Amino acid sequence: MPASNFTAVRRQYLVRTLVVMAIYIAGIFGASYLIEVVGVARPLAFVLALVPGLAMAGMFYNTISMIAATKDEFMRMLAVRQQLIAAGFAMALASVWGTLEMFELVPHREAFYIVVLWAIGLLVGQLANRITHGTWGECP
Amino acid sequence: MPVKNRLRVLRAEREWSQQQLADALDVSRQSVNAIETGKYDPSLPLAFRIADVFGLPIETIFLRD
Repeated sequence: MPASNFTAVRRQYLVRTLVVMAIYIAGIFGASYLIEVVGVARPLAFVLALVPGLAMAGMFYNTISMIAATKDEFMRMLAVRQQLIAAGFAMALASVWGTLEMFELVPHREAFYIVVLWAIGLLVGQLANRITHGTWGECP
Repeated sequence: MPVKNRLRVLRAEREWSQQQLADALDVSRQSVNAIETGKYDPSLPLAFRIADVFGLPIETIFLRD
């Protein structure tokens, strides 16, 4: 049954998400403390600073794996659509911000904020799916 | 090319719910609803599965709009 299969896929996705987010949060606080307070220097500082970024990369891999494992083709299409909207949303805003920043019209923001835009874009994607296809979709 | 289908009529004739049809097709209820309302055209493999479930030729279920 797709329901049980989908539940298994969802469960795996959620577990992986929790693990990745835990690594991300621990990586942020760990690197901040060890580099800025303790004063850990290169090359260890470089490795510590890589951890949260790689955790986010894991999140994207997790999402792609979840989509690939979703057997229901309609739900899979909605998930892909949601991801495309989220990516477009994030890159469009980042591009606009980057141009404004280049001319010093807005303050500098670190590049990792694009992940926040992507997360907001996921909500936009869900809303778009609801409007055009009548369902929010099952995928986050 | 726009495609219409007779899914809702065929399902009603058999007095199946969307969930029952979804279970038979191994898809979500939302998928059945999206196909019935014309918001989603199924892939060819899924269209053949639908034809098998109803025991009808695929061209009697999916028609040119």
